[in-house]
Amino acid sequence: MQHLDEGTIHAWLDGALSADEGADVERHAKECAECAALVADARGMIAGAARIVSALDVVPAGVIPQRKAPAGSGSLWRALHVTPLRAALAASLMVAAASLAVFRHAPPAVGPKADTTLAIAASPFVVDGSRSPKLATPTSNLGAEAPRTPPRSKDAVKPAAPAAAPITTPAAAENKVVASEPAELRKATAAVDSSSLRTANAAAVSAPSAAAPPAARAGLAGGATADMTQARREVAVRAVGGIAQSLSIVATSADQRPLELPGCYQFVRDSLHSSFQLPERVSFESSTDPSARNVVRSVLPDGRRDTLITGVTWRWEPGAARVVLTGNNVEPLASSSFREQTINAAGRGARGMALISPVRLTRIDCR
Amino acid sequence: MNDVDRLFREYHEPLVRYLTRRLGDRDWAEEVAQETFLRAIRQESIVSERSWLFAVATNLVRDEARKDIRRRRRLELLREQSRADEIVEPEPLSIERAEDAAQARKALDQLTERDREALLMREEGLDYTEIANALELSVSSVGTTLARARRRLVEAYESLQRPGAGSATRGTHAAS
Repeated sequence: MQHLDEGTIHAWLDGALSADEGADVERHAKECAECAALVADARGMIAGAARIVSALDVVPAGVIPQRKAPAGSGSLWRALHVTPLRAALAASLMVAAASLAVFRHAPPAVGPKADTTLAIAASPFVVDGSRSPKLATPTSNLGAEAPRTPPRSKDAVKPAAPAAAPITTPAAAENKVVASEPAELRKATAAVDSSSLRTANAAAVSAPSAAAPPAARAGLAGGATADMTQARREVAVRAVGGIAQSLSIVATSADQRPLELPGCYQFVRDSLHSSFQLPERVSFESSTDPSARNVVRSVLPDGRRDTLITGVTWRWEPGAARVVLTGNNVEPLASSSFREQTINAAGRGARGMALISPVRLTRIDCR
Repeated sequence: MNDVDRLFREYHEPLVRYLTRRLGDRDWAEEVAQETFLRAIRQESIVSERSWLFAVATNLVRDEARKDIRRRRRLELLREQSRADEIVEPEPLSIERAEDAAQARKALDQLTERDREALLMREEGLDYTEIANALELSVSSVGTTLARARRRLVEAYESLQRPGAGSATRGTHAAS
């Protein structure tokens, strides 16, 4: 066989040759030292080009200038960057936290009905039984009768932070209405903002299942813990900080064994740089949905597959003996780490193309 | 409509990423991607979806490039005028990242248009047949095109990384 040309080598490494052609190229590359060097060189070029192209993803959006609103012309809400939806979410979270605190400190004699009533009364949404974000201004809900439209008076428009004060009111009310029935509740609310709670209680008694917003409901149920743990784990494996960018990592087998994917692998530490942001052990998995991408999951030291790494996918080119991991919203290989690989990987690859050294993988067992 | 939904789900993200790398401007990339999908809606059927979408997007970019030169000049003037007080600047990148991105952009600009497009399509996972269809090449020439593009890109980038080659850029950053 004649020596291999660059185009054929790249086609082979990109998996574009037929099985027979690929086998011929592979056999020749093993027998011919010169061609083997060309293949190594090409691998370096492919990985280097991939890395350079991924650096192009560092592109700020919003190039066209946006003018600031002149001072004093906007509403207080806009000045504080608080949209009704954000205020609603903030209020719900505070109510949920307050409800949780109330339940933790509730004496045993407090019946579930009273607790539920109080919790619902604390919700800014139950006043008119809807979840409209328009009701999300906490002070307006607790300080007025069921508003149907966003409050217009400036007194009712308050920033989200001070809303904590009225939200603690139900806790104070609860202290006064231990083991109470709805009638008792009405008396007790004289000690607090009576009009609002009366309205709320009436609504709650008539419709005890009136929806607390999901945040309050989760707080009532105390069932958010597992979800939050899962969310925290997902955040933990999703790097934070810096500007969300695309990730592009090229990985090859550390030994002579070809990559077998899907499968479980461990990154070889000395092929990594200090700011490598993926778990050391990962499972490359195929998605059951043909239209979805292949996903990556972390693997625990004992071999158990663990959490899905959000935003990271992989593709494999069998003929190229490499797997490429890409991702969005993941802290990428920082530009300095790109240079670190340049410095640390000297000698690897052909032509001293250290800047294109891929990370290496060893196969591990997992379950 | 379901087909277009599926097309959008599958290809919008890689298409925008390809266009962002091609154009260096994410807003612009989103616009071109949107225009591409609008055209897909008008098609009764598309045989090779990915190569069709990338081909249309590439052609739109080529057409737009000519018109956009004038638009960009106008925008630059606007930026200069309103820079002092009224502008809301996008969040700044670290100098290092911006420098690397700028050098990657310069290196990519040294490729011919065809080589650049072939390389960017390959980086988005298009196979040789799709690239050939999108760029009206023969399949057998795609390997050579990519080999040349990759080599030139890496060599251009290396030359920009050498001391002295990037000093103009660094000087600019230091001065700003």
